[in-house]
This record gives sequence, C-alpha cells and structure tokens, in this order.
Amino acid sequence: MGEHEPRYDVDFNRSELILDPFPAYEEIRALGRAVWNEYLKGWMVTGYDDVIATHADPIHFSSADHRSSFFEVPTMINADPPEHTRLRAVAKQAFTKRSVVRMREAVVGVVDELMAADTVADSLRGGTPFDFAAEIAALVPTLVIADILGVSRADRAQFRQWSIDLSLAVDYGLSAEAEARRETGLAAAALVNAYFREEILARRAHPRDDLMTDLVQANEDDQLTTAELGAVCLLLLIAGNDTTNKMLSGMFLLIGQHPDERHRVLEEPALVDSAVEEALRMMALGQATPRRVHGSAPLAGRQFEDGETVWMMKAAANRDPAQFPDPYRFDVGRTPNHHLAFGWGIHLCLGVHLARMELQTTLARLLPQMRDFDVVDFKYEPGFHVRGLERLIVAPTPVPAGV
Amino acid sequence: VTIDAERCLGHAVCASLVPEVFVIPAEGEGAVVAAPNVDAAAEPAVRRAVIGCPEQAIVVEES
Repeated sequence: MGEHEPRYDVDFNRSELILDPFPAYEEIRALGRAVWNEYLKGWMVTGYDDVIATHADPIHFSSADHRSSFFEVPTMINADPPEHTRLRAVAKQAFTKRSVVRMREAVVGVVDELMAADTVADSLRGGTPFDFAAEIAALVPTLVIADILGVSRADRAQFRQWSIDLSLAVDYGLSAEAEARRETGLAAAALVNAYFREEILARRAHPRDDLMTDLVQANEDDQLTTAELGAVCLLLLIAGNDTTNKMLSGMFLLIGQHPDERHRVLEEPALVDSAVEEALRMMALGQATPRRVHGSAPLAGRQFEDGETVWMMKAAANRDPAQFPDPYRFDVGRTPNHHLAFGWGIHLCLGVHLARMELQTTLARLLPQMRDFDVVDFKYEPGFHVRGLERLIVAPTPVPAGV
Repeated sequence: VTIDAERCLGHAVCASLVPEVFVIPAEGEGAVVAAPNVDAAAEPAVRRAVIGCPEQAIVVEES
C-alpha cells in the first residue's frame, strides 16, 4: 500500500459539495475506513465505530494542536487532559440539567418575542413568505446566550453584531474569502475578549443573577484567571451561537421538505424530542473535526504515526448504514438514535442540554403556528466546517378566514 | 461500578450504551446505577461508557 492510499482528494469548500457532500462521503466510505485527502492534509475516517474510537482516545488523538486564533488563552476545546479537565470544570456548573431547566423560561421568552415581531406575525397570519434563517434562527441563540450570560439590553445590538462577525469567521478554510472573514472575526474576538474581561471584573465586585456571576462564583478558588473566564464566555458565544442558528434552519428545512414527517410531529407533539435528534443526525453541522496524532496508535485498520492528522467525518458517520438502518431516511421517530452531532467522550458539547432545549422549544412553539408550510427557497452559507443555511424562505399556511 | 454524582451532568452517554446498568431517572440531576455488579457480558460496554463519559464520572472497582 502506498504512503497515501487509499486516497480521495476533494475540496469540501466547493459550493456543490456544501450543497450536498453526501455522495462524496459515500465514495470515501467505499474506498476504505481511513482515506487520505490532500486538501485536508489528513486521513478521513467515516465509520461510526472508528469515529467513536478516535473520540475515545484523546491522548493519542489530541485536540491541543488546533487552537483557534480567536482565543488569547487556551480553552477546553483545544486542550487535552489534565488541562482540559481544569478548564471544563468551572464552565460545566452552568450546564447541568437543572441549570438548563432554569434557562427554559429565557428561551420561551425569546421565541415568543420573535414570533410576535411584525414580519413574522404577519406571515404566520397571512401566509406570506418570510426568512426563517434571518428572523428566527439567527436570533434565538444570540438573544438566549445574551440573556443567560447577563448581557445588558443596552449592549444587545453590539453583542449581536459581534456574534455575526465571529460566526462568519469560524472556518478552517484556506480560501482568500475565508482569510478575509477570519480578519473580521479576529477583530471582533479582540473586542469581545475585552468586553467579557471587563464584565467579569464588574461581577467580582457586584454579583448579579446571571451566568457570568455563576462562573465567577464557581471559580472562587481561582482555578481560572480572569482572561480564561472571559475566554469561556467567548467560547460559549461562538460554540452556542452559529451552531444552534444553523441547526434551527436545518431542522426546519428537513421538516419543510418532508410533509409526511411534519404531519407526524403536528399530530403527535410527543415526537418533538426525537424529531430534533433526527434533524441533528441528518445535518451534523460540524461535518469534520480534526485530531493530531501523538505517539503511535492503531485506528480504522491502519497504524497512525506521530504528527499525522485524522479527520473525524461526523456527518458521514451519522449515516453509517452499519449503525443507522436506512440512514438516508428522515424519520422523526427514529430510535435508538445515538448520533455524533455533539461529539462523543470528554469533548462532548458542554451546551448539549441547552442546545436540545432551544431546538425543542422552537419546534414545539413555532411548528403549530406554521402548520403546512412550504420551503420557497434556501441557500447554504459558504464554508463547510459548520455547514448550514444563511437563507431559508418559508411560506406558512395562512390562518383560515374567520379564525 | 458507581457514579460520582458531583461530576455527573446527566449527558446519558452511559445510559444509552448500557441501559441495564445505568439509568437516567426522570426526576433528578444525573445518572444512577441500577446494577452495580457488572457481569462479564456487560463489561466491554461498561468500559466503553467509562471512556465515553464526558465528565469522567464513572468509577469502576475491580473485584
């Protein structure tokens, strides 16, 4: 076997692949369990069990070499144990199931506020098309995380603009356009870092009823510096914002494109939770996640050597027929459904309870208002790594006259 | 096998892998152990849950 065989060179940032990467994934799957891609300079792993095995060995398959330039100090996503454990310990207090139950009120409030806004309310009544991505999906997570962190109403608009700049720049891409987006994002990141540092210093002096105060108090023995706590807040903004936004649009696209499945949810609201899981499986926003090999370790039928890169192709693993029967079918009642959209193991998304609750709440409250809506148009954002829609025009069923 | 309740956040990775050993009660914060003595058949799945636990909250005592 040659040094880089089997091999499938593909630039996933090409627009036709962003629109539909799945035929390429199936070709890669057919070539072998670990397939070289010159564009990614690494080995793509598409099998469900192999992706789990990579997650299960964070010492040999390390996250520490992929630090994002947004952060001035290390964060939990770019650290291995024991550093990872220290950085995660403080933030996790805020994301227990019980904490998230307390956040439900904030989420319901935000969703209802957005549904009552003129553009959306008119569409829901009259059936005229509206952009779900702009009017709902992009706003829910930003407003929710702002409310939860304790960003003041006066800072909301500024906070929203920073979120947009940051999310545009979250891309591992090598194109000139990606480079320009990164510049914008870096400028915003510097401002957000400074903002959070200042807000955290203020919370130390004057505690309030918000997540920033909780983080300060969870950190009472100063395990983390002020800069590290600020980086936690920035991470929550980046990790919880763009992802939840695109997942909301992706879920409503799937629901819109599958009328029979939509009817099942409308008729049986108890299916909301499993419908959310199925949308997470099908979309798997974080298409591919890199790990750097430390030392030497076997994986996916080959021996990996120090310094090599493994790309966990999570969206492909979520359609591994060995794990998911009829993997291309969108089935809102699918069970079991142990998808990898949030990762697996010690790096499992810390915001998983919050993300699920935001998705479930939005679907449960909005779908009965939209009823048999049509998808009029949609467009994917350029950028493969958090693949998602930037536009989703939908036309709700108008309320019948006299109601 | 036991669960460190201080660490557990209720992600339910363990309960999805070995439902006969770990369960997530509707009420409460996290996972609980339904069957603390793991037999040989369930051992590989339990070891996978130990590695997969995002909070590293599962404690195994060998007998």
